[in-house]
Amino acid sequence: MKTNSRFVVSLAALCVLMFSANPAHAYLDPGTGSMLIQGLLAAIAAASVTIGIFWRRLRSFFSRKNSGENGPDDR
Amino acid sequence: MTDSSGSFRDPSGHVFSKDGKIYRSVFEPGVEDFEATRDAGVYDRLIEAKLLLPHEEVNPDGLAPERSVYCLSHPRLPMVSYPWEWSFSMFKDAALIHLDAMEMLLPRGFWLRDASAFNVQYDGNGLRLIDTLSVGLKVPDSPWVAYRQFCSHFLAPLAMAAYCDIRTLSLWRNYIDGYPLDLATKMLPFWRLYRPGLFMHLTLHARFQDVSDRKEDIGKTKLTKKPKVSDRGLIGLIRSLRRTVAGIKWKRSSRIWEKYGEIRTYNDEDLARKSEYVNRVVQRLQPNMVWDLGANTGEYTLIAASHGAFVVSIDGDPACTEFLYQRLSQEKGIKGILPLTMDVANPSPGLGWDSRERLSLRDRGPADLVLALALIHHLVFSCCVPLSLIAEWLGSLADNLLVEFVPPTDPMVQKLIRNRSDEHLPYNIDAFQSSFGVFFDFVDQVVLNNGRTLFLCKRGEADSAPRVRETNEW
Repeated sequence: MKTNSRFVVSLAALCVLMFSANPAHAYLDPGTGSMLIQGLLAAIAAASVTIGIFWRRLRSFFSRKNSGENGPDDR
Repeated sequence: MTDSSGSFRDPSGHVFSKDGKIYRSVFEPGVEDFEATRDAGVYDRLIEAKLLLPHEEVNPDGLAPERSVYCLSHPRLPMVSYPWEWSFSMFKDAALIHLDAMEMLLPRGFWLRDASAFNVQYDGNGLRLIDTLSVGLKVPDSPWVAYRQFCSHFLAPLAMAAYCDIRTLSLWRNYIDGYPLDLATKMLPFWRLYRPGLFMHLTLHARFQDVSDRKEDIGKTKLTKKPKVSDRGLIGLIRSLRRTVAGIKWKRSSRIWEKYGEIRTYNDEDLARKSEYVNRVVQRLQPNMVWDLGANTGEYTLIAASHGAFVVSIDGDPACTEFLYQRLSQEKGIKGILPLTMDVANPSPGLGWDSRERLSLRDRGPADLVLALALIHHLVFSCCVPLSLIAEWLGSLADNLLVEFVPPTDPMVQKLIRNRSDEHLPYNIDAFQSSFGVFFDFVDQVVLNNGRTLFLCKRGEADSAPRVRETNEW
């Protein structure tokens, strides 16, 4: 019984492993180092995009405030 | 049915030709991506944006191999060309077209599954991605599978060409799977390696590859799952690559103007007569395909193209092909010209698997008309190729030939033989005519005031010259 359940669990695990692989993308080796550096660079890029969005929002918030105070010609 | 020699690597499909038409089979592994891309209208978008070569779905029965699920028909490319033949800016545009496509695809949940320089070709109007099946569904949160390929196919060669030497583009003939990144880091000047874009995508990338490869070699790799890359991160990565590629600029040398001076040894009257004669020949023959060998900056290429011919403009000087490519990019009205960098004395060989994956220049011919203007004397005196071999070679490339004979008394010939004896090479009009007469019939000729003669020749019908030499002397 115990052996059987172990076998079923192993088989299930094997199936999960087999079907979770994505064969459509397997023909080109992305390279371990290339994937790792992308993780790093993409995190930096995502952070800089996020900071950029906040920066633009902040700037537009203040420029709206300023333009309200100083008139449209004073830029 | 003939399989395309360069399309056997991708299990999703392959290209073949039948009755002069080009088709692509889609096999089972590529069906999911193909259907998803088609049904989402992504192919239409890419084709509309002039990023992808168009296709039409046709019935595969009786046409494509049995295991084909779909069959696509593509327009035939006038001439296939390879990265080792491209000018710097053409190469850079080929990189940018990949990034343009990625920026269009990513927000729609798709991406390019590869980023090979061989996936870009000139279709007569502009550069296009030709591998329809390289578009596929993006894997959520995954790094870009083709990032490594993009960097080694585009970033490293571009940086080396711009900052090391333009002639390093010819290293492509050796590294047909892309330049090793560590080679680029060894060859680039120190200060270039630490500029932000190149530092991230080349210097650091090469270092990561090196460390991972070493760990994998000794079985110590700790990568159990792929690092996660968010959509925003991936778009940021593509934009960073774009900034880096766009920022790589080659400062062209002034050598082009020295070469240009050669044309100017002509007086205006002779120059006008020569141009007029080229014009008349092209008008008379109405060729579809013209190869202009030793084209310089493409003066006669432009004349040939003005009559609707597709012209491959070949010169050994990368500055000349760059000059012509930039001119074509700026003057939007000119179409159907492909400038290629190639030493005529060492034309592109067959490369890749079985030396047939990428075709030699000869295998891409013959052309309806070959222009060999002010070329023969360079081959004879600078490259020491006898006239008989030049005639035989041109006979294998051309149905019609417009060739210029520059007499031994010409200042340009005198300049070439200044420091050498020419006794081992018979070079005079009689030797020329008897050598070319073996392979060609002389149809017409015009003698210019400067003593140069233009011969219009037609390849002899009964000549015994084989199109492809079958003996291998080595």
